[in-house]
Amino acid sequence: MKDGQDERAPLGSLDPEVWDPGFWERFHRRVLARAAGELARRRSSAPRVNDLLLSWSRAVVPAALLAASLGGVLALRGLGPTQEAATLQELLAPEDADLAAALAASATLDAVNVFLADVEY
Amino acid sequence: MRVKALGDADLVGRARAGVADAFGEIVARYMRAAYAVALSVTRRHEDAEDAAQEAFVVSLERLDECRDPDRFAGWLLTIVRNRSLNLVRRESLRAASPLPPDAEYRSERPDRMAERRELRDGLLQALSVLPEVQQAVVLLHDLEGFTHREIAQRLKLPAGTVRSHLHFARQRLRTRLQAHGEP
Repeated sequence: MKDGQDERAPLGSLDPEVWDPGFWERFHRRVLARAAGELARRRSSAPRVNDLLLSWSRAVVPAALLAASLGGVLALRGLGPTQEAATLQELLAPEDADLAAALAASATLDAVNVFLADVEY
Repeated sequence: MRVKALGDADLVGRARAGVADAFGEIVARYMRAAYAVALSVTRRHEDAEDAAQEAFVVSLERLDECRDPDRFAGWLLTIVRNRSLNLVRRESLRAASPLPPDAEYRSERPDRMAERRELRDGLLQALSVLPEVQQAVVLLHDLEGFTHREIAQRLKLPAGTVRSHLHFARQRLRTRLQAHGEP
């Protein structure tokens, strides 16, 4: 279908601007005047940058303090030299004992082996 | 960025935050379409003006309910139509002449005023026989200069249906106007 200007219905006289110059400007102004209260309400309830930063700080600062405290406790417990040395001694002591026992067992085994060699030959 | 360059979704986002310039641009962009849709329902200039203005204020109050800001115009025109229907129901109790008061024409000569008023009344009479959707399509296209595609988006109709409505609306308007001696 052709959509040319010549096919348009002659509706121009329905445009209020034709008989009432400045109609659309006044229309626009009236709507904005009626909407002013709602716009102001929206502006006052919209979050601002300061509010956002404040809301973030409310959550972030306690979390950071908690993390720092936990880190401090872990650092004190995990890196203390006294506890490290004691643990090593505890770990090495049984090994020394086992070694002495093993050496003693080895000496007994040698005597048995000598006796068996004598029996076979 | 100037608000005129913004798309509907951006304007809606700013209007939600209370930016007056953004809402002002929305009104400037759609006031003629809103008036045309309101006129297609109310068929009276004063009622169409009231309904269109009211619809803009209501749309701002309910802006958070607009789920798809890219399709704001269709949502707005639905509000315009509903407000217009409400107004017609309220006004149906009031006996009124479809003609505007003479004060509207005070800037013109009396004979010219009468001629314009007669023409406008004839057009409104001719429009009144069309189905509502055809009135809206022909007003948006031939009065407000919207394209088929824009009307299809705004009225949520297929583009082919818009063309068809426009064709039949123009045909019926011409027949009606010729029968009454209009151009």
